Amino acid sequence: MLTAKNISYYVDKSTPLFRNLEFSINKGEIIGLMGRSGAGKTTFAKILAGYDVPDEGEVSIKQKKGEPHPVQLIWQHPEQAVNPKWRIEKVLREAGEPDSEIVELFGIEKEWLKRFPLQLSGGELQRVCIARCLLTNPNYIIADEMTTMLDPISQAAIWKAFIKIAKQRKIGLLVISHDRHLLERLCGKILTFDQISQLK
Amino acid sequence: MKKWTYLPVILLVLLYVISMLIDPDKISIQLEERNLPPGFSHLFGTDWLGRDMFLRTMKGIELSITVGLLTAVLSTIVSFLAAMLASMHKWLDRLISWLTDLFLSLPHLVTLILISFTLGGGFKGVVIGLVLTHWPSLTRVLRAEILQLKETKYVKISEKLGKGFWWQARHHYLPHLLPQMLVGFTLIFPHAILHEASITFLGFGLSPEQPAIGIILSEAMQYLSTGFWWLAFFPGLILLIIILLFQICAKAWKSYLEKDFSHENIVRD
Repeated sequence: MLTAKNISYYVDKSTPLFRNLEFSINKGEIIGLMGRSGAGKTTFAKILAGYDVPDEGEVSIKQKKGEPHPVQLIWQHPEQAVNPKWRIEKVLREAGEPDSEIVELFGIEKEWLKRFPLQLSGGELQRVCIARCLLTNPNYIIADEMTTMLDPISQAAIWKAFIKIAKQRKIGLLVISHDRHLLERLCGKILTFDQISQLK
Repeated sequence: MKKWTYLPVILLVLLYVISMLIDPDKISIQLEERNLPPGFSHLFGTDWLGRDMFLRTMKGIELSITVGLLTAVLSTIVSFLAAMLASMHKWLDRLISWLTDLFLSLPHLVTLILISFTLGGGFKGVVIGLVLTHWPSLTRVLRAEILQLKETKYVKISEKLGKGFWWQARHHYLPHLLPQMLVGFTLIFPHAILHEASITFLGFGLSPEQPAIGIILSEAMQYLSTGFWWLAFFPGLILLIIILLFQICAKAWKSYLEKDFSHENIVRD
């Protein structure tokens, strides 16, 4: 179980972004998280995945040295998440040997592998990022506005594949989004950010 | 790379190889042929001891290129390592920034003379002195680049994917810094040659019997006023040509490395 206990994060000494945040998720569980913009959803996601350190409180799962983090974060903008000088093949290989099942499931075509990130569309690149994240065999994945920039058809295709793999591998999934309809379709449980951060 | 950019590389290598093949024993003193102007038997004329200036210049070029290349490569490596070290820890960063400022605040030549003199001069002293004085400005540029790169998402993600510092250094940082390092290298190369010439001129560098361009030029100074213009003109011209050729190569290489691949006609299967 991934738990976050009593997490507080301050913008500066007197202004908290959120305080005493409590959250937990089990393996295989799919939870949706909503919140107004500026509430600190992304900061919270970064804290869970180890990109940021909270001012107070603790996250139960930490990265071991030389190993991939068991909690992986998928960013909203895939074009910032890959090295623009690398070919897609190398981008995937950074996480591990490309697994043909994952590569096929997300419709990553062989000829993309020789291309550079700028030569793929946003949706294609996001699929590469998701595949890369799955190649590390994470226990938990946080999808922070993962498909916000995509058209509904690609959104549906990506989520279908993603949920399938998450269920198959018993991955705990936290979906952060503005889109209530999307969350209602995907998640067993929907939380709002105000609920967990106890700031009203 | 475009085809014509190979020409300067070939010329440079050719010049270097020819100069290496010249037998130093041929540069002998022949007093009956002294102070001859340039002509068919002596392309660049002869000096006050009757030595052939063409052969001396070519030998000097060999020495200058060797010193220049060696120093430029070594100081670029030193800069890269220093910048990487600076990115590892806050205190290392302070230490290296302080050292950079220290070296930049001293005049190059003074530090260079001190180091070279302490090490007993000669080829070794000059090269070590040049390496130790030419790293700071490039280190500064590289350090700033690394600081910026460290904040990019893909480098942060790389760490979460389980990649260590040196893996990142090799795959993320080095390819990104290569164009900058190449510019630094290009700037250090002529600098190193000129500094080598100046400290040799002052008597702290190479020994006077070695035919370095710096020595040839400084010796020629005494004879210029008496009308022996070829003593300085041809060695100076060759030095200029070498540096120009070198810069054309470096420029071509740099633009190749910085090329934006997004418009490349893609997917060759």
